[in-house]
Amino acid sequence: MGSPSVVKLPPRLYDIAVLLARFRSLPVSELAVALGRREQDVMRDLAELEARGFIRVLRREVRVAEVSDSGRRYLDVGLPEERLVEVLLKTGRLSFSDLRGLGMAEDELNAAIGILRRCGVAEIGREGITLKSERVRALNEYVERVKGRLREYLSPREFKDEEIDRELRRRGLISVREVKDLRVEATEVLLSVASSLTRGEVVTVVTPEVISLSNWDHIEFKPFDLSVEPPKLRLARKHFFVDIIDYMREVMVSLGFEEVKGPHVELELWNFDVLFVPQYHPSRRPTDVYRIKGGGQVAVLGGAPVSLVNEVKRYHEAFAGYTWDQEKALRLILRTHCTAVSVRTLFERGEGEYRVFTIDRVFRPDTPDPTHLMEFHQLDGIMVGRNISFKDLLQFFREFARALGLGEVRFKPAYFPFTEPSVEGYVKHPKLGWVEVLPGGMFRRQVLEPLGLHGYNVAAWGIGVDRIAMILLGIDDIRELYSDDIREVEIRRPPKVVLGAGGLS
Amino acid sequence: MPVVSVRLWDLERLVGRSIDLEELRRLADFLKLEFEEVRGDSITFEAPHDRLDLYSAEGLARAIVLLLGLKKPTVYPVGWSSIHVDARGAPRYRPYVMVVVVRGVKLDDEAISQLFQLQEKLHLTHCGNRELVSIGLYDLDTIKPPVYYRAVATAEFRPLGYSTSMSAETILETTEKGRLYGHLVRRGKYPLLVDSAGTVLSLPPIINSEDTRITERSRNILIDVTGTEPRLMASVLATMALAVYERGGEVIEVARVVSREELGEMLFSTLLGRELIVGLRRVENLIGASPGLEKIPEYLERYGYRVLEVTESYVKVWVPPYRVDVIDEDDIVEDIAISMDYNAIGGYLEVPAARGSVHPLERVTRFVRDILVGMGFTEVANFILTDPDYLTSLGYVRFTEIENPKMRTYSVLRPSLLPSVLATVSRNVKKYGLQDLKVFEVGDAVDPDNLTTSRRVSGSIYGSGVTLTDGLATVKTLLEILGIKPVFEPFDGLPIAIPGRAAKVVVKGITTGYVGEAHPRVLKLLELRAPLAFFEILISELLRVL
Repeated sequence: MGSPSVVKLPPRLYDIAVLLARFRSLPVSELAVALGRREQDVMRDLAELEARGFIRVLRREVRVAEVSDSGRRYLDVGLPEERLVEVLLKTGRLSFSDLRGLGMAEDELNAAIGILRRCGVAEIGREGITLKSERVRALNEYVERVKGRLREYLSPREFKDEEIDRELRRRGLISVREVKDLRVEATEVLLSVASSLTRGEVVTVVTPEVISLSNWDHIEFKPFDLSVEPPKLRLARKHFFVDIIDYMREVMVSLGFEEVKGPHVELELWNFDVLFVPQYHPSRRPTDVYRIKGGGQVAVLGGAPVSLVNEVKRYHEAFAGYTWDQEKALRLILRTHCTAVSVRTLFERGEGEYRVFTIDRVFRPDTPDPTHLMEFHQLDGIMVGRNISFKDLLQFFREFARALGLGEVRFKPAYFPFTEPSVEGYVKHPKLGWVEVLPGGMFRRQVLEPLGLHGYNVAAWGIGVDRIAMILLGIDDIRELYSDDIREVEIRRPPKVVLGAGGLS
Repeated sequence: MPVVSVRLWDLERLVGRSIDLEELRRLADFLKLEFEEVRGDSITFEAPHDRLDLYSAEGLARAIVLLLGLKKPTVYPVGWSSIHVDARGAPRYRPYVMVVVVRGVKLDDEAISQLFQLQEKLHLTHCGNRELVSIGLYDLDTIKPPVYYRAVATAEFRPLGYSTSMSAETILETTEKGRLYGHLVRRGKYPLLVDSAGTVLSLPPIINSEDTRITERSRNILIDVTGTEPRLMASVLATMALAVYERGGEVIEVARVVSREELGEMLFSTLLGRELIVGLRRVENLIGASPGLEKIPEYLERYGYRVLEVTESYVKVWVPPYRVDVIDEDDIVEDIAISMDYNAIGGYLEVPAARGSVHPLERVTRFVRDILVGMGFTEVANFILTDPDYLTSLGYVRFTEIENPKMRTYSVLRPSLLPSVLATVSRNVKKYGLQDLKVFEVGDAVDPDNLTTSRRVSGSIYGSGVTLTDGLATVKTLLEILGIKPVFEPFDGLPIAIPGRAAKVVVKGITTGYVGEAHPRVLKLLELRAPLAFFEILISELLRVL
């Protein structure tokens, strides 16, 4: 707070302290007027000065008086007794009927007569009222006193409670109300340092003027109160679920995978037949697959290569033992899994050593509820090579789970029509226990050979993206992933693993 | 996947010793069974679709006995029956029949309900809901062989579960099964299985007769399958016959099929089982590890294979007839892998020399998202499936429809992202009383004309004072950062826009999107009280000019 000889105060506090050192005590309202500030704005500074021991803030109840409406009018047109005397000075006397003809209200007239009598200015007899002109001066003195005091109350002020004030109140010339009075007074401390008070520069916001100074020693930068909660900002953000999907993409690329894409509207051929799912298999029923109305637009999806169709027919009939129907394979559906994209890629690229993945939407007839949606995401991938093995698949799952902070993976045997061996990988969900998120297997020869791959192994999988995102985000309702609520998007925290915090492992 | 129920006491009776639940759960993993519920003595589980033999207690018990090593796998006593089935008059649309007899079984309530469960589950899965194959079980001792399978103009018999005789027509019209499966038979050409005394066995694939039904007293069981797919029929009938056999059967007899000898032969050979060679190099190549020659025979026997020959390079096995899921040696390799325990198979995943890469569409998408967020747009996510009524109200006339939707609100594929974005604006403005809002979505839409998927970004700027210029400025800024100089050309084809306030975004002569200012009609429809500018850019098209 500066050296003992100089008491440096911030400008606003300094102004207040100086005023109070001079006047000792002031109502806050007057102080505010003197400072040219609003009362509520001054209060915070007063609190600060009080905390420093410079002032005391006193709160008491006071009566405040203000000229009433009739008082204002009388100041304008004259008091009733004033006006009556004026008439009497001209006429000397007035009968009662004359009085009524003056146009004054009954109560005004009565009041005026009463005061005239009290001051001895008039005599009231049977025939009327007679002026005693030698007494007019006494009345004039009374009138001046009343009007003089009344003018003092033109703006509200404390009720003085002298005889004259009580007279004003009695006559209804002023109104009196109780108010809380807030005043401040200087303490001994302030008075003792009054001579050494110095006005300091306090800077809240650094302005160009402040920057342009050459010496900032006399400036006090207002320290900020860190216990005060800073305001929250509105922000535009990327969607949390899209971000998680993008993170998975990053993980796949880091493991050496190339991303591919395929159509949402698909031929049953690619979705089922190429995958050696028999046409009578329950997963192909309309309760499990969305069919496209109309259909018959096969060519637009790259068609169905004749050689492939023939091979697929041959393999289904030889190894699944039923008559394969091309019509059924050419029906248009919404793909039920992204594995369709994997087999399209295999057909396109054939034999070789490569790894590809796709992460995209799939569709199955369902009614939305916390654990089901008719539209969700899968991360499908394949590793192709002469020596790619089931072990590589299991190891891929372990690596993928580690990269996503999902912890340990447990494997159980599983069944899919298109893989052998087949596996389901489970990871631990904090609430639900072990949940299945990593299904996969080695594509059967009955899948690979019609696609043109002989002597090659293909590890394949179709990971449930939504369920993993739910684990990472701590969401229990799958519908929350597809949020178009901007506040949700604004507040959702990225999972630790996406932030790079290492996740759970 | 079929859901199967068994009773623990029945299972223990069939296995021949007590089993606790813990043990059963452990064994279930070897068989890919998923426990659904255990209530008292009743156990419900999901069986893998390809393991037909595990759809009932008989097959499950057989598998458990082998896994526990209580018995070694054995061949079944299969022979030709003196009974034959005459298929000369079979209906052309359902021409095939196979019949087998299992003698000496002992049945009770539980056994019968297990066999019916198996029949039912087979019908639902590998029988194509009875269209391809249907199965019937009868008490042989109520039948006078031979048996005839033929098409008849009409028939009259007492259907299973009814006390009175009915005509085929009445059965089709009035019984539950008749209504469910009536469409599989042709009027006046009813498939009928009947014996030499004229007793009707069944009207396949609809219903059996009451007169030949199996009861707790039945000792000898005749089973038939009829259908259109002989190999599926043989698999299904073998599975059914071997399950019946597990109920104390003594012998399995295949009936010859008069006029179609090959059907009997096929069933006979199926019931004998097959030989397969499993190459040791294939085991190592596919699993990536090997348990070694000393372990493999034991593993195989526990899975029901008889080991016929072991050499340094291969193992020759006999595949039991109930394992119709085994197509080639890889199916056997899986059983070896399971025996090794997947959790014990591990190692190091080699990362290939080839670099991975993000798809070009997704790379551009990343930039687009970053730039738009930088311009103060918040990203949202919506479904591709949407509501046709909403699209129509906005003026869209062409979109791809789903033939079998579950809900009308999700019954078409969005042709554009814009409707989703507009709905988003409406919902958020209403929910939070917003004065202004900028949102965008990056995602896919399906072209109703060629059914292809296209990657798009669509956004909107809402708030008082917004005009087309806000949309144009956003698109121009976005595209210029991507190194593209767009040309805006007048566009009248947008029902959503105010006429004269819409533009095509043309890049190097290719239309890559559009910008517009929403017509008050649209704003009113969305219950919005301020102007809105929107845009949609086809990222797929941008890629062609980048």
